[in-house]
Amino acid sequence: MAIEITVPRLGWSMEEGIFGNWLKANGDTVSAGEPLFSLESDKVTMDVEALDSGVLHILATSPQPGDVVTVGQLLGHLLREGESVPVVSSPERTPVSPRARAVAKELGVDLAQVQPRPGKQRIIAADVQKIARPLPHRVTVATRMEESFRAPHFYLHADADAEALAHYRDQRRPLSYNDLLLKAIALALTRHPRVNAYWANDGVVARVTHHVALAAQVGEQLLTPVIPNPAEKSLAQITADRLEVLERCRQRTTRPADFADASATLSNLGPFGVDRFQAILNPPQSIIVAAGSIRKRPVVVGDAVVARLTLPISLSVDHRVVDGVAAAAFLQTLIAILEAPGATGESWG
Amino acid sequence: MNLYRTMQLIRTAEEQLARCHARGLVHGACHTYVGQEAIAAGVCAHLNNDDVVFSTHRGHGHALAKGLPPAELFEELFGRAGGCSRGRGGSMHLFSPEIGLMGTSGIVGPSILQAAGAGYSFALRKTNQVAVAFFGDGAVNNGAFHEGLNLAAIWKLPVLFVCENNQFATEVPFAYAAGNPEVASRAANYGFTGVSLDGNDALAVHRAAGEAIARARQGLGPTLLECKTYRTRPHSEGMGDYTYRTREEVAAWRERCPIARLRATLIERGEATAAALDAIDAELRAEIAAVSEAAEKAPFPESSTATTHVYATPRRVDAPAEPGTREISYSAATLEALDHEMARNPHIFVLGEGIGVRGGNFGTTVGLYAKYGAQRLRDTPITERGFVGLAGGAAMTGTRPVVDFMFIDFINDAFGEIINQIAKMQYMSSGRLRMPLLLRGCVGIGHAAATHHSGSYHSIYSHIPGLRVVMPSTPYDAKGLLIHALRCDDPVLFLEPRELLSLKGPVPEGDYEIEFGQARTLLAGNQITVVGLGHLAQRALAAARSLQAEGLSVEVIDPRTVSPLDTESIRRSLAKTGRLLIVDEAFGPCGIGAEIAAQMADIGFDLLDAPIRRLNGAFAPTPYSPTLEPEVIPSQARIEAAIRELVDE
Repeated sequence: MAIEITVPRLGWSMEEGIFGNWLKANGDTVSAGEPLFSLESDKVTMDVEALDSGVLHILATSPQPGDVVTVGQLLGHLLREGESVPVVSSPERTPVSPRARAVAKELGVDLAQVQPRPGKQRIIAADVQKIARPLPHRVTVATRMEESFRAPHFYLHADADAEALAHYRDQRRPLSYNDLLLKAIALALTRHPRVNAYWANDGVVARVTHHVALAAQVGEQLLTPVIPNPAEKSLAQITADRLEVLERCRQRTTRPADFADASATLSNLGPFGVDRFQAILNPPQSIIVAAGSIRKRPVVVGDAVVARLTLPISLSVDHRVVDGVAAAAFLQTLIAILEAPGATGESWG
Repeated sequence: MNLYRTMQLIRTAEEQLARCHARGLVHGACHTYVGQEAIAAGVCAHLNNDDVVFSTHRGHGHALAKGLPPAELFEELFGRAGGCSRGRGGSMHLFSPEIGLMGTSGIVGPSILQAAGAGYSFALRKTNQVAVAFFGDGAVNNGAFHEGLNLAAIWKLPVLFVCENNQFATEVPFAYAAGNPEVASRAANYGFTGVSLDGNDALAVHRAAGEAIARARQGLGPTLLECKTYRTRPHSEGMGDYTYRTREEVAAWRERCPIARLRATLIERGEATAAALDAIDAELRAEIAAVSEAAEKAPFPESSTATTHVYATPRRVDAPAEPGTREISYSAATLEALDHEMARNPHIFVLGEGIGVRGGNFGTTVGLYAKYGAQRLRDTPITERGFVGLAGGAAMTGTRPVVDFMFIDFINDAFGEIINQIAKMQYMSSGRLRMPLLLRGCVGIGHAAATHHSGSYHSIYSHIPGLRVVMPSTPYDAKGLLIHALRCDDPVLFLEPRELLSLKGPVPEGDYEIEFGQARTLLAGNQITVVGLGHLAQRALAAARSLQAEGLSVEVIDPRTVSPLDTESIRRSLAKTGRLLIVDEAFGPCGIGAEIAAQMADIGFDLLDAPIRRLNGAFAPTPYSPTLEPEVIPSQARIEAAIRELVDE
């Protein structure tokens, strides 16, 4: 049986050392007591002697002089006559749960960088999300923002040209602008995974779903029922889902799922003649979209001022989760989708 | 003359069908009736359009004699859209409820039970209709014969049982297969009249059937006719015929052709001339030739419709009432539902052992006998196949039977009637028959009931298309789902966990419906999803509540209906938790837990943070002793351990 040569502990407290060099060559016959290699700890440099006899086989992955080595690290073997080099098994691939794989893909995390929780075999979604947490400066920004605001918002404003949107909607009545906005927000979320996240337990938690809530006045109550997954649904289905959930709100037969897991909220005060406004975040979501009224406004086209239908959009953003540039990119995508409804390559039904 | 025309129509059509079979136009089996025509013609001559017949795999003659246009028969055998079963049946499964042809069957025996069921419907609805069962000698050594004739006898049902004794059950001689080969004499066992006839004598059959049908219409009960006859073509077209019988025997019977015999009699008596009969023959030849040619050109059904009509179209249902504050038991909730629906719908009747005056072993019908009477709360002999088959026939003919099995274990004696008949009837009839039928019984292990009174069979029956399988775990769900089941047009298996019958919970006093296919979240949580079935839904809930003390957040889901199964709600919960445990006291292999796991591994793969686990009852019959019984069903402690282990994965 081949005898392993490993890095010994020099003194009580050594965990790592610096490899010096081999004092015997690969294939040399070594006798017990002969010096084999030199090793340096923080306190001492010494020649390590062979404990057994045999033919020296140095691992291909043997450290080079000056490399840091850890106590117990395998360096080579002493073989008896006719004995062959044992196959050093590479550590097994760490199992990854399907959910962790999906979350890693969504967040662009390299799974090779992820470790399972201590004592566990499998990488799960929470392990990936831990890695995906922001850099320390992100935490600092968040902490500072939180000191001044309970929910540290910032706001972005832009106008969408709504001529194409109005035409699209008029051909599909009773389709409402709300349905188009829900669809557009969900589509934009699918393309901006970093926006599709929220702040919890001092970290950013990514979402894998793209549900969108709709702020609605039902009787005396302001409610924000959820339309599940509008990105993958036809507009007709979104209309049906919206009407059904609002009916459940009126009938007071809503289910917990009707208020769970939305990535963002749409607040549309356009029908009430509100020109534009800023909305307050709907925790724990990190963005809310405020839509103003669609009407003709003066717009500069070339050198002329012309009257065109526009849709003012304001985005309120949780700064702990999303930075200005990322939010602006999201808003830009949203505006682009709204200006070319049905032309995004997604199914609009 | 009419008899002659009907017989000749059958003969001409079948001879053409035999030719078409040889040409490959008939895609499947083709069982002809050649030589037996006098029986269908003689019996059906007495039937009105709304009288019903139930027939066999050799049913072309019954269909044509009952008035099926030959074109629909040809198109059906050719697999065309215009066929009487719209291409879903073929030779052995002919349906035309519009003319009282309630189906021919590829299984021997059910026609007897279904005709008895139709008779029950007519008696309950007080119509003057009669039901006829045609069956061969092969059926009379079968339990359905014994059970069906006995039930028709004790309830004096308006039914005519017609045994066409053609002397071979497929290829097995009746003389060999029967201890008592005199079929007609067996009616005496059940206390009614049996008549033995020459089945090749059309006038004799016509006379005897006329008397029997008149008796049935007068409320004097059933009659058994044994018509001795012979089929002169093989069991099925294309089969060899001379291994089990001789050429000489077949040739001798051909000489006794019922059509030639009637022809001779009519001419002899001066009731018809040879020329007039020849004219009928020629006219029928021309008609059948034209029908056959047209059927060859008829369109096939759209491939995309292959799975339509498995179920009736679900009704739209209002949102159910809130549970409110009144608390009653599970048993009281189902009794309230049944009482409410029986008051509302006079066509509901209950069949079962001890469900009459006694009110049911589990109190399922307490007080209803006094309110609705014996005809609607019908105690039965212990004859599960019989009364389940009968209930199927009743459901097809305008009533809504409820079969109360007491212990669900007894259902398995009726397995074939449920799987082959009841579940398939809507599909085979292309949605023209409805099967509003409720099968209910208690399920589950407990109180040392031991293995013949402890079964859980929801998984087996949820494997079958055409059935709804419901298993509520709360009084509220039990009432809402039972009312929905009693208003639904599909056959529903309603399973009541025996250990929950005394469980109390809030139930509204009024009626409300809970739709099938909607799971209920019994407890919300976010670390693990536990799907519990029936009794174990409640046990999983208790486990989850107890684990809250340890800081574990468990979501408990009760699917409430196993078929249809609400996979979307389970998936949505999995999206939240990433972990799934299914807890069911039924056996694990091929169970509903395996189905849920497979579906979630498919549609929820990317949601899983850990393997899907199942906790099932032991794969063993249920033992009796108090030291053995608890071992075969997951305890609360075992559920808690399984939850902890899976959360720790």
